[in-house]
Amino acid sequence: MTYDTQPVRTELFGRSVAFELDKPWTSYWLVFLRLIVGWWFLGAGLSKIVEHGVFYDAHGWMMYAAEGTLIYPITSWFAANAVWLPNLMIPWGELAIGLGLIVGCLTRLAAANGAILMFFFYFGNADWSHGFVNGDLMGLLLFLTLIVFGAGRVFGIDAYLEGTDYVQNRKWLRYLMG
Amino acid sequence: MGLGGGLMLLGIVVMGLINDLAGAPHVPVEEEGAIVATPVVSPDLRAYIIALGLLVWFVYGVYKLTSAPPTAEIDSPAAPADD
Repeated sequence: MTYDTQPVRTELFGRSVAFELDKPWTSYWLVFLRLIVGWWFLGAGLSKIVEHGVFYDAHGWMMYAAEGTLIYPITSWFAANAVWLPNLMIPWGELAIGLGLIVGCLTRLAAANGAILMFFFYFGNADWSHGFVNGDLMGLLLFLTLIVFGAGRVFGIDAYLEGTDYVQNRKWLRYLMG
Repeated sequence: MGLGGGLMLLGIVVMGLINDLAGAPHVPVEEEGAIVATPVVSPDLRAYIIALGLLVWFVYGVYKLTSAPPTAEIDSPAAPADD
């Protein structure tokens, strides 16, 4: 049996680290993870839009359900002063994040926005009835995983975009892509 | 990297272990309006430490984004991204 692996050799906290990644499995797993997380958010956004229309009503959650949590100063300010923004951004933002992940376009930007949303869900649903390691934290970590590995480079539009001269000449753009 | 991850592990794992070893719940337990059991480590303190860890990672990410050189040498199109 042959193994198609890629060695990783680096320094972590002052110690050298060396291990091998299975190339097909790593690629397969990144695209699989991207599709599942992408559908999670695409489906969540789509169902809100179908059920509630263009604007979702997040006022109750932001003003009352999140009361007493560390994000309450932010959510209560938006609920009182600019509730239209989260009402628009929650369903359409979820839809855009999910779509971006599924097609692998601006993957890191999409995943970063997903992580920010999960930050608010994690701390806003903070009765901690399911402990501190719950589904919201796992979702947040999944988004960060997609950012760290640049998952849009596997069967994603970012793989094409990163090969263009425009992106090659603007290295910072890679931090928004896969 | 070390600070963000360290704060996350402190808030989630270490403080969770302290509660577990003390036989205390993770959040105050209320029965008939009265609190019958309290955690050793406040859940609010844990939440702030975890949030701080995530914010450190966020700031590091923004720093990486803004400190990237505006232009880069043109690689071979077949070469994978180097980050």
